[in-house]
Amino acid sequence: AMTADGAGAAPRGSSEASLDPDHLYNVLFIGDSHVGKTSFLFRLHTDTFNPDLTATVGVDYQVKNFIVDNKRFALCLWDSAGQERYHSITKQFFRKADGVVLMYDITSEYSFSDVRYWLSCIQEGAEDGVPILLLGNKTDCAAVRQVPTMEGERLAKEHQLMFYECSAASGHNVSESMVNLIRLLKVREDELKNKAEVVPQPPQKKKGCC
Amino acid sequence: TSSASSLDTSAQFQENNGQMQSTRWDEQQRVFALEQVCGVFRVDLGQMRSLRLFFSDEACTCGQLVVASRESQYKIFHFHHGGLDKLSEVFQQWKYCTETHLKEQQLSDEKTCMQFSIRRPKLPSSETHPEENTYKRLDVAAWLHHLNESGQVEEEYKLQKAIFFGGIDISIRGEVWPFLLHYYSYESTSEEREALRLQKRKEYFEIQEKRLSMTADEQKEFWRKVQFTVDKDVVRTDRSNQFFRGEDNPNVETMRRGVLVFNPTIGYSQGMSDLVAPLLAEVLDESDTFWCFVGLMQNTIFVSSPRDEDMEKQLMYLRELLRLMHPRFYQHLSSLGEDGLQMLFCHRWILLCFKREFPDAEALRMWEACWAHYQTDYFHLFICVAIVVIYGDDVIEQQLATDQMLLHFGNLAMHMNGELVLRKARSLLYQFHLLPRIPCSLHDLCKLCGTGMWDSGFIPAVECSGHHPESESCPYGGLAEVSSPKPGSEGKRSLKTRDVFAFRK
Repeated sequence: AMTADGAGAAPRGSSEASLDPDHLYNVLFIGDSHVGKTSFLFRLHTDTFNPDLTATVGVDYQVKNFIVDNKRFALCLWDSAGQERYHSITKQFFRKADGVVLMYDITSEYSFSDVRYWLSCIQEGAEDGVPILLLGNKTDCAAVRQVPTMEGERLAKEHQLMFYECSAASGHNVSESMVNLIRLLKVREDELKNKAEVVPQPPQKKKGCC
Repeated sequence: TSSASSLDTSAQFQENNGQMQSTRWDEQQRVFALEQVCGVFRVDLGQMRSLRLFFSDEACTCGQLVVASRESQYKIFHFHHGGLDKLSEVFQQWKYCTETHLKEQQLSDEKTCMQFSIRRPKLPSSETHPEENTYKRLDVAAWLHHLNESGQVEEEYKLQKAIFFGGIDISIRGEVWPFLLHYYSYESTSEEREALRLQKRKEYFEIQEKRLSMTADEQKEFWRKVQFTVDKDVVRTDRSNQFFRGEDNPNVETMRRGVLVFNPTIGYSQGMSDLVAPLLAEVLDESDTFWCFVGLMQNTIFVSSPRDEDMEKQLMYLRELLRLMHPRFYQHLSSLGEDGLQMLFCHRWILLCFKREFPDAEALRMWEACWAHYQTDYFHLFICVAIVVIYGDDVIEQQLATDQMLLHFGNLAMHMNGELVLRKARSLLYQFHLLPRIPCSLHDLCKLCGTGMWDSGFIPAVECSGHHPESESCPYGGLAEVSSPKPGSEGKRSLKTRDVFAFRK
């Protein structure tokens, strides 16, 4: 076997990566600074926790492949800066998004009260009915929790959001929530397709990112 | 090595999962630890000199792979059970490998050996600034040479030029940076500077006191709006730098205090701590660092500006520069429409002045070259163009879409050759300088810094390149394109004028 590895080890799940996806979705991560968007994505990508990630400036982008219900999905994950200063950019993301992950920090009331602000941004910029996953991150810090689970559930119900509490640090609910978001995105895609078939309008062309 | 993927061939130089830069250090540590335990090791093939395959069977599947480093160290891999043929295919497809055909092999049909040399991006000498290599790094002796008896900088322009080409030796950065950042004026005497420092120190601590004497309500507001974010950002800034390493490092607290009081009206923008950290690590004194930072924010353009319009202006200049200097790339961007022209991939370059794209040693050399304000206030944009010229060919060849471009350049972060980029940027500035005509859209690009770019008495003609909605005629006195075939086409960019600006490539 060859052990020298010039270009680095193959990324995790590379066997999946080599496959052509059946479905491809753009997913945008938003929420206040420090709620853990980048950490969540890092956990998703490497299945480890890195406490030293620096604040996101601009936007980061990566593609992650999943197999759900025997279908291959590629998620184009857009990690935005919590403190985005260039609104023209944000608009572009919202427009492209097939799904949005809205994250808050269960140890920060402020980040939770800002969820309403972020929801209004989605309403303004994204397509109507875009699937939204509300994530309360940092369940590993239960001792300093400020936002009860109930509150998150209530808000999710009010706005018809999918809801999970999770922890990028422990890995709790990280892939579970994404898998269920994928299922929701698939349902939505099928709905849109059906609609397009019924009404003979120009088909909703999905811009691929890969 | 990983198989040649079509998505991003230049990423072959790097680790595949290099999206998250800050993890590299951790990962390296993990790899080093592994090496200790079970003899696992890694070789960056991009840094090697050659790869040779020696076949031991007719089918060319078994034999040895010999990797030679530039220092002529060798690693030999024995393939007893096949697979070498697959590897040779990979090397043949890898664009950074050039197969060297060996003479004796042409005589015999039987292939016994293959050799590849590694191609590294480099600039032909025709593409470098003619004054490249004429300046050494500014060291103590050279620095003192620029000062007169009372400590004034004799010829500011000469100093700036020396720094632009040669950079500043680490040992005197803390002393020279305050000039570049407009904390000290070039005309000031040593005595005046000492007096200024004392006065400014007093001022700084007054600002600090003011922060500490806020009312409870003000404090709460301040905590919510500024301090909360600062506290979290500061502790995760430049942790790999020795200066900030370790728990309860007092330098981190110093940085925090400085960032907190920076500007109550602007507040805090994420990324500021990235800019302050290197200043503190070189200037050391808390108050001096603070005032250097204030200067950086006020007098340079790549600040973490909270306003959309500043960024828009930067992007507009950059688009125009690309249109002139790299028309093929510009065409690709245009073909992607508005999303492409927003050039998402370079926003962080501009905001943090390449801090996260290059290792500190190289990024700080770029900072100095920008701060020298030699011939332009926008040298950072020439650096952007240089990156695109050197590393953007794949983007055009593979017609990468907006998001793939982001991935392409994102993956290149910390893997680009900063020295090469800087040389290219200097040469681009030189070529720009030689243009007989410039579009009016770039008229202001060289206006702000003193004598500006055309101090030799030669001033290029300004050509109107676009419409000006607020006024009838071009406010820069630009004439409609001379070479435009039709008289009525003012405001349209003709392909012909593009040729006028064509650059040697």
